Amino acid sequence: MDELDRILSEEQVIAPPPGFSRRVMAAVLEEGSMPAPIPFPWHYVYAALAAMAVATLVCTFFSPLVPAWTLTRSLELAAAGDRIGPGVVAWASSGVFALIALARYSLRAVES
Amino acid sequence: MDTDQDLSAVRAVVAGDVSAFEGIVKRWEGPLVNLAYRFCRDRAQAADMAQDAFLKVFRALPSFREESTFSTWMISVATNVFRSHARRVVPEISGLDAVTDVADAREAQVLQRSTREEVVRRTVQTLPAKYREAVVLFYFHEMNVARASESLGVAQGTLKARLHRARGLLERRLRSLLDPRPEPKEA
Repeated sequence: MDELDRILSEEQVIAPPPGFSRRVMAAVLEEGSMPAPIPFPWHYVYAALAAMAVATLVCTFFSPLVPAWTLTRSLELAAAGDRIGPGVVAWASSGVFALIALARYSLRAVES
Repeated sequence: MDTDQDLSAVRAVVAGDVSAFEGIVKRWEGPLVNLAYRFCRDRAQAADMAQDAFLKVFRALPSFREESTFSTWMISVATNVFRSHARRVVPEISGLDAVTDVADAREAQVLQRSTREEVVRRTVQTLPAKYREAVVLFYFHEMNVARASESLGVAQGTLKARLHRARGLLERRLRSLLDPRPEPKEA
């Protein structure tokens, strides 16, 4: 064992301050008496996003109320969509999933 | 530490008996305060950090799956609290500059042993976070790599690499202090 090991191994032991466990238990009991925090409603968020996507598709392609120019544009968009390769779709999907994962991880980091 | 006592206390707390947590606090207040102290080197702050850690452990108890020992899990939760705290707080000491100045001036030779050792420990605080945490946990667990890596949530190889790098940095920064022979200055 060299000098560095010796010094860092021989750390002084400090005692908790008087009344420490009482203070901790007071905080714990207070915490225990509070209602549990409401978790972030991810399920609702996913459902809302899915509903928005469906509504956008329906309004864009199938609604009889949309103006004719919208329909034309939509058909153009649909045709353009056909030209998008599966690789692009895969990259875009990966990006979206990565974004969601990052958002969730960030929220966890903030909550911890 | 009495694992059975911890487990029965955990089960009681999860079942709704909050007062059973007191046994955990009494058994673990010493280790947690000491671990916190190694992260901040301030007694009052260490007590506050340990209290935060106990609260975090209390909140997280329902997620304890008994896949590891309670002590391993609790130290890991507490370590995360201390790491977050230490990363938010800038070390008070200027550390490296001060140590280098002292070493350059050859005042190191006349420092009292305790002061010298405290300078070494405080220099650990000036290391980049991932190296500092590796050093703190390694020596807290009495140089047990397996337990230190579990507490940090990293692979043993990663911990060893960080310890190696940390040791290199420490030895360079404390060269004159640890070895009074004339050495070239750190670049």
